[in-house]
Amino acid sequence: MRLAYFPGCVALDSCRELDIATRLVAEEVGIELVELEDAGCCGAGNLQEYNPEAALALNARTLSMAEDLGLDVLTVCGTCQLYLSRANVALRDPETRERVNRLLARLGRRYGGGVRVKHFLQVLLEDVGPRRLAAHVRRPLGNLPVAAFYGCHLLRAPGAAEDAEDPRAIERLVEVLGGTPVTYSRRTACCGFHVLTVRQDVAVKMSALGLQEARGAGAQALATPCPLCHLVLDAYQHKASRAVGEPLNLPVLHVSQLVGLSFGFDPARLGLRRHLVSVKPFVRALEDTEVVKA
Amino acid sequence: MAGPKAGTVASSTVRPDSPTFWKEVLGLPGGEALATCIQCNTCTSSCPVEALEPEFNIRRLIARIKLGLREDVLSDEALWACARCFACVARCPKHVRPGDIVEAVRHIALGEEREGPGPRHARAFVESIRDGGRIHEARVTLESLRLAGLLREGWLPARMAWRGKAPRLRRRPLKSVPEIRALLDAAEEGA
Ligand code: SF4
Ligand code: SF4
Repeated sequence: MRLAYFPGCVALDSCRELDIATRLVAEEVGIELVELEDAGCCGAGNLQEYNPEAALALNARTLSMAEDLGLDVLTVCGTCQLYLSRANVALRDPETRERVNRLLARLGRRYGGGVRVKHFLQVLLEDVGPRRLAAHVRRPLGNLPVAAFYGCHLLRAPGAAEDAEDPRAIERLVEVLGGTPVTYSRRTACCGFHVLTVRQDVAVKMSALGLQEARGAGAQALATPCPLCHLVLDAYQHKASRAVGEPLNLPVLHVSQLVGLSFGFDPARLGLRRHLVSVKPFVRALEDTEVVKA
Repeated sequence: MAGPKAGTVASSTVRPDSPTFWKEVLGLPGGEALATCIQCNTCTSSCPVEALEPEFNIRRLIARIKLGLREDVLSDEALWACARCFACVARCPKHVRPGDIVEAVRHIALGEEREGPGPRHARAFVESIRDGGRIHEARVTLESLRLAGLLREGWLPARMAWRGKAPRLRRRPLKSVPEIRALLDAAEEGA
């Protein structure tokens, strides 16, 4: 299987470990990633606010690059998934597409509307499938309790396979990898990333409530499909602890890293050392329960 | 002069200054369904920001637009507290897309070059796309927070750097930056 890989901005910058882990996992399950190296930012809502037409055109450009390759787009970020697929839906309207294509024509580009946009989580569960995934699990998660943190944008993206009020994808994945999914109500809550620079107090409090509830429900780690959620939940967790007046100490893993761990990849290769909240206790617990499959 | 607290509709000094404001919003992407709002409050009761910062009330924002409180809405810093979670969009029984209305109103505010942390962040973000095609996190963060804000981060930047987690200080722009810039310019001209 080949996909046009759109890493987005943050997975190539402060969350580089996500890009690294995704590449390792993709290779292991036989997905060839053709990176859209020259694709621009999805706009993340900011460009959409500044100039909606420019945001639509920039995303149409990205989609046209994948279309030229004859491939669907792969994202690893909730926000990229939302804004690229929103653009894709808007461009289904022939009039809108013609209007945007007049802009793209200046670059010698055209978008025909024939590309799908998929997040890695969806590809793992739907295209690779639980059975093939399980076949790659060499170090099952030893029934360790892992809680999901979905992030809003993945759930609200048009065409999302999941029920936004009661998603199951990450929980299903955790089970396939040999862990125990922990359910709690704030697994679909907002991390606050998009107001992190403007209203840090609000963002930190929002993520703190989620972390606190997950920990109270017994989670030993959180798994998230979004680098923006990861930034707030991991890098700002010390502030979250202060906001709720108790140490939260909950390691936050990118979904790709969790899969990589269960595949038996070396934690250092998955970039776990880059996290601000130490993942060591989780990895140690994993090693204690270790049942390496032949 | 100490004006009334932004966003307090009840304040006697907040007067409608633009009876057609709602039409302005209605004509923008995101604002199309504004008129069908029945003020049921489902959006506000779904809003995670309002739960922590009652100054930002999405149902009331829509009411203020309809009342024509243009200046009051556009100068309100709370406008920039919406976290774009779109819970309100998912739950509004009238498909008003309240979160998208925020986008439309912010578009007007940005067009008028309003000041404040919200507009500053949005502009820094867009500038970063124009400069590099993708976001240069370090720069957007610094320009949004400014030095004072960065200092308030305490040891966080140092701890991130220690972990190798810090965003890159220098960043190579995409090869296609001229192409991206041309596209953004063309879209802005409305060509
Ligand atoms: S939920 Fe919809 S109809 Fe109800 S107040 Fe909010 S925008 Fe209006
Ligand atoms: S999108 Fe904004 S207004 Fe709507 S629920 Fe989320 S934070 Fe509140």
